[in-house]
Amino acid sequence: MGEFRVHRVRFFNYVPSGIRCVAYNNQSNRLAVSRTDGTVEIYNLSANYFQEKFFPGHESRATEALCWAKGHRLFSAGLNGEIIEYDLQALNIKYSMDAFGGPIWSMTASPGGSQLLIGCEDGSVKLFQITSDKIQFERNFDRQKSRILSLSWHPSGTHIAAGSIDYISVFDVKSGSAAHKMMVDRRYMGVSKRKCIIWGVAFLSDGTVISVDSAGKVQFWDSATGTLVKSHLISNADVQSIAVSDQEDSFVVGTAEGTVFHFQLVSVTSNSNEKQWVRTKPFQHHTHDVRTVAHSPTALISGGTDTHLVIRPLMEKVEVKNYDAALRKITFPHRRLISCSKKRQLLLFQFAHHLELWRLGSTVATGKNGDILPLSKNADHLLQLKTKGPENIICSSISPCGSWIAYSTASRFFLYRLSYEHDNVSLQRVPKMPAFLRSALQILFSEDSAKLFVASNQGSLHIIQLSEGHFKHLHTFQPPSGTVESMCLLAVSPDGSWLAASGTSAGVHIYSLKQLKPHCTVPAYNFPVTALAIAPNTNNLVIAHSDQQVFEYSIPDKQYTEWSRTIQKQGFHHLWLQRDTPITHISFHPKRPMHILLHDAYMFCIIDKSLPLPNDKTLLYNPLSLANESDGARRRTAHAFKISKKYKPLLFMELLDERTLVAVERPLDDIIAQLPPPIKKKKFGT
Amino acid sequence: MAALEEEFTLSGVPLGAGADGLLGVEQSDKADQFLVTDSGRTVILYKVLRIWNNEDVNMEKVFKATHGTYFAYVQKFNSRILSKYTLLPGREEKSVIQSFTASVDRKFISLISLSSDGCIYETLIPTHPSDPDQDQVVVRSLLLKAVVSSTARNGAVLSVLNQDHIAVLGTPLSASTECLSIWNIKFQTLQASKELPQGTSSQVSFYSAHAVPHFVNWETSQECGLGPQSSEQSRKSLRARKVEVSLQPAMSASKQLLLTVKNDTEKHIEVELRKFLAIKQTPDFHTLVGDIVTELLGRCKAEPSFYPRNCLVQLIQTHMLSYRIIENGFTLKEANCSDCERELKGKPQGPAEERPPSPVTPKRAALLNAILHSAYSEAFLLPHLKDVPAQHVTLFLQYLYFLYLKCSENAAMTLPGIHPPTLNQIMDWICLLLDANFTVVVMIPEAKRLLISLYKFVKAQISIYSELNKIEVSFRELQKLNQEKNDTGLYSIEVLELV
Repeated sequence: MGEFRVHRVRFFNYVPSGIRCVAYNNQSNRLAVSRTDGTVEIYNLSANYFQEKFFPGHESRATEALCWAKGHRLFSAGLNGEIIEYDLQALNIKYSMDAFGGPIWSMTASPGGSQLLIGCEDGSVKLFQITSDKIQFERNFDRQKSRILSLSWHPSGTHIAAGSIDYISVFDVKSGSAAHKMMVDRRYMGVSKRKCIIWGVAFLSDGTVISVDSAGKVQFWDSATGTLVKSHLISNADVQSIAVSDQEDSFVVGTAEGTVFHFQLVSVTSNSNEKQWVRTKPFQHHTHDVRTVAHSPTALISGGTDTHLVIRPLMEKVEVKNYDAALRKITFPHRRLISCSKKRQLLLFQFAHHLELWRLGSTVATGKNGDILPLSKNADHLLQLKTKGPENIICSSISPCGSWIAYSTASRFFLYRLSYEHDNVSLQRVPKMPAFLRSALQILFSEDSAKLFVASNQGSLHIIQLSEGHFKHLHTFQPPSGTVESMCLLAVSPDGSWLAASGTSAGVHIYSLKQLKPHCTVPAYNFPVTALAIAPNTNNLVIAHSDQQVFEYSIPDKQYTEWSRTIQKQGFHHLWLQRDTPITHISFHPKRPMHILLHDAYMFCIIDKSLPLPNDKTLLYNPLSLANESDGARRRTAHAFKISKKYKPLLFMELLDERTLVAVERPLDDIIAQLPPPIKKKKFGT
Repeated sequence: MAALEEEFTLSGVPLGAGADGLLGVEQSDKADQFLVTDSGRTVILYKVLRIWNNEDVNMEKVFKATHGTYFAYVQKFNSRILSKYTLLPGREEKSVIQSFTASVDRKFISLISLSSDGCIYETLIPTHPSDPDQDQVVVRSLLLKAVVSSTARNGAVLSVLNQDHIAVLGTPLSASTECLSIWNIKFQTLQASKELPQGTSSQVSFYSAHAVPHFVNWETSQECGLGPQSSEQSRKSLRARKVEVSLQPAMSASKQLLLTVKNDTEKHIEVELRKFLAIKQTPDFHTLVGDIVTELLGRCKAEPSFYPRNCLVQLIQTHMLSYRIIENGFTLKEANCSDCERELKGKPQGPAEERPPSPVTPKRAALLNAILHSAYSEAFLLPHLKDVPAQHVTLFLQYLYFLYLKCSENAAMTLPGIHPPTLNQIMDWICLLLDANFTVVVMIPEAKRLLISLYKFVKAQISIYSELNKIEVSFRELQKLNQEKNDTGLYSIEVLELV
């Protein structure tokens, strides 16, 4: 299969933002996740937990609350005092509206989904009506003394519970007045010294209000009498979040120590109808504060400062005990943050607010498998490009020749021309980029670096001609009439004839760049596309989906290739299908047309189409010992999938030339080292 | 064995071999002679002194007429000690032993006897008697009810096949001809049965432990009926049973188990419980477990002789018991504590040894250990612990301290056994008990020594832990150095061969 020189890169200093809120939508089985930098991500839990959409963050838009309403409408609110609605088709912000109550700490949609309630810094609780295209302020509830940190609506819609500092208020929705004020014990570990912050409340059908607070308590209140019914001290630190299942028979809380506790409503004895809440299971999947939790019908979902999104299926609710029942920990985005110039051996790293350009080093030495070669030249940090303004970068790209860098934020598109003199690089911005390019979701250069393809969030694809420091708008492919789905992934054929573009659901569209018109559409598949690439010479389009299926489609023939049909007929190896991170990049070997290179976060693979496919009885991952075997033994066990799990977590892998690979790793320890220290738990002593 | 007078019994006659006991006693054709066979392949002819009426040589009558008391003699081969045990009858007061057989494991000789009432009884005789010179009393307990007809003329005989199965040759209640039946004594079920219409000489012998699975028809293991059954019949009824089972909801199984707990023997409960615990856990599983424990504890209180230790241990090992049940266990344990305290007072301790012996009996220790294993909530348990009398607290503390000393005897700080309490559990309970009762314990003179030992122990622990904290830091630094060494750094060029 061959020997490669691998540039093993660990200097991509990427740290994901901490998770602030999660909101689960039962109807669509989608999960919305907001991060501390204002980014909002949408995960499709039915599509192998694929991150199918995201809204870029914004420095002034720290989201404190996130909720779904009226079916599929998504709202967030934050400390800038604004309520934001997201457009899930165009992937932009539909509108933002100042609530005039100071920073917003909490938000919840009414049980029917037609009203929105927010809790503000100034102690006000405000009710908004959700209209067909906007929201409209309706009225204020009785103003409280301090900020409203948590809100929950009674399932009947008649009352709400509001958690504040040291007390919980129960409001009558009709009158807007506080029916009860329930004081919470301030004592912390027996000493009364702190304020008690009510981080979360949940209102149950039977009138019980469950509260979680900064003193480590989970408390049950009778909202009719305003009295404390039961109290569980579960943590030495804050309990920061709570979520109740729709059936109200189970809830989950998250603590600042990184622990998630599951509570269940169980019968006191087998024959009685009397039930009580029992703390059943603790889970320790986080190292830091669990800022938010959600409860889907089958899983507990949690996220927090340690940046991991954790989905823990409830075994008793999972019908089929297959791989879906396994714990999922999602750390890295399901899209590429790295692009590379093969010609100049450059890597472009994308961060939230800047880009970094690095030149790879070199060696003259040779060696055998596993050797680390002495460097004749180390890698160089060439430049750092900072964005102006508060907006996060959505996407970026460097041209194959290394002379162009392009990136986009929500409001502007930037193109730079780079020139190299010896070891120096100089940078010149191309002025007057047209406004229609802004908010681009994907940028791609052609193989000869003469053309730039931009997928805008309105579903259109723009083609720009590049020449010495100038650009010219060549053409725009408009989305098929009636659709506004934005394209997230692009691929261009090396010969420059074909462009493939894919959204999240409607199949892959293929355009002819010679005739500047749509060529065909690859039939839509149930699972979203995670990576696309067009092979040289054959112009076969290789498509990877979130369910780990890989298809090969012949663009000239407008049909799936024979190899693709064969592998669909036989089925992929079960271990291949059980991988839990999506393929994020596909590329090809210039001299070996039968090879397809692809990778996810934990493996990279070369598929050799000339070899037999592995079946479920074959070892998918060849053991290391095979490297020492004779050629005969190797040939006997050879199958099409050559997999290496050496580099992980793997954020990017690309073939620089026939014998050289570049692998960008981001070790989790390096991320943890950059997080604030967790609450220390002593191993020894008291 | 077939003795009429104690003086005449086998005492003083060392039998050929060993611990396997007597294998059989045969009446010879002469009325006053008996053949006694033991496992050492010795056959000895005994002359029996006749003191009864010459015309009436019916064994049954003889036994009824003389003394109704049975003795078991155990001849130990290596020590040449002959121990004598008086067999106390259980419920079968007036029945006569027709046949018996014995088997030996490490701790007990199991003497299984078939009585004239048609029932099979088991007597456990310790292989290491506590006082071999003394006459000792052992109780016969019922193993199987009405296996053979009590009115049949021919005597029935039995043989042990393995620890779970016995073979019985005799006339069953429902039949008129003799049958060879294999019984499962564990499940108290008839495994197989073969009619012998030609009659037999009432002898059965068994010679291969491996033979059992071959002739046991497991499919009929559920069948409890007596008498011969054709395989077709049993298959039919099995099918019917299957339908029945599928129609019944899962609840009824648990209800049935609760009934079993209420009324059945310890052994049977244990078997049923094991079956219950083995099935898939239902959502209400833990409440069912709770109910069973409550039922068991209730019966324990009502029947002093009922002590289902294994069942309780099994249940506690499910880790599904609530504090309330543990609390109930406590009251039971308290009773035991006072018992064993009486024992402690009654029996002065032997000469001072290096290590103190366990302050409680093994039986109670097992229950206490199970309690140490249980999950509990400090907030709910503390008030109840405060109600435990001071001397019980002291005893419990003594036991915990004893466990701690045992624990610290080995480097791994673990206790022997399948589910030993962990050091943490022991420490937690010491803290709990002291938290709840410190003011009381501090006033008890007997507890003073214990408190001083505990104080010393805590002091030692603190110094150990402070050292460990220092070592932890050093180790972390070493680890860091090691990581740096293994780390290829931020950038390297490597050779990779893909196979």
